Amino acid sequence: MLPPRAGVHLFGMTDRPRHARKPLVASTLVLRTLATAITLGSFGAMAIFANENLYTSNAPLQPAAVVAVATATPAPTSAPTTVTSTRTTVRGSVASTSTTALTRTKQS
Amino acid sequence: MTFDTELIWVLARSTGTAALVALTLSIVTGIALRTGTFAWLSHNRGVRVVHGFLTVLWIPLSLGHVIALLFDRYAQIGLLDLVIPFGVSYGRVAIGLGTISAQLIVVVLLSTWLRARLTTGQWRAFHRLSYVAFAAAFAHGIMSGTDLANPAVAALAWAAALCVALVAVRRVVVSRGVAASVVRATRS
Repeated sequence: MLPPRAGVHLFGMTDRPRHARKPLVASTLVLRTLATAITLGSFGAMAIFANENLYTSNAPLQPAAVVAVATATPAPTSAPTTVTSTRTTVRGSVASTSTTALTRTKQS
Repeated sequence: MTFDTELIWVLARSTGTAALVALTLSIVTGIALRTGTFAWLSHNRGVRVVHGFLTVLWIPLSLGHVIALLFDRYAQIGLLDLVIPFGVSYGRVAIGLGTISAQLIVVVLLSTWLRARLTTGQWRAFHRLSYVAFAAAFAHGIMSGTDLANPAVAALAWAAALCVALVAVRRVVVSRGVAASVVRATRS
């Protein structure tokens, strides 16, 4: 049996050069639309997800702003207070005093 | 939803995640330009067009993320924190990495716009900073991203990072293969 000629297979089928392989998406417009859809899709999905899960207790970062809010308005007590914010709950004692303020005047 | 706090908070989170997605796509398409990783999907010109086009997506998303956090009274991030990293009172490293990432991205963008004035070597050196920028952005997301506390979202983020790593490894392997074949050709 004779070997087939180079580049010619059985039944007369020839090898196709590699560079002639047609890609799945030839249009750059379709590619750009695909990239936009993936990006904006993730934006929309994350916006919905974040809106439904506004308060995440196991988030890696908890802003310290609520502590500043808690200490900005001291109550006249040293008992532990609970300050509940929209994001997190901070428990702590607020240092305060109930004594009257002293005023010193310069004496000549 | 109240506009002043909750909408800003939702915008900050969603723009941050979407910016990371767009940045991932940009990095992956950029790396794949040399290796033809996406030859099955499109020709190289198409991949290059998408790589350039993605800046139109991730620049506004990144800006939106930063602006939303500037207006968020809980985040307590000031304009100075955009210039000087690691100056925030909480989450110093996590937020500082985000600042570093943003600054590196600005450098990469500027070098791209000034490409005509740079040598190929200079442009390539600047452009390679995008790898560091992506790593910093990913670490920033993992360490500070509220949504990445969710396992499903974290899995997607890790999948994106794995995708970048795989394409990068393939590029290194292909580059070494090309270099070895050049050496063989010059010796023979």
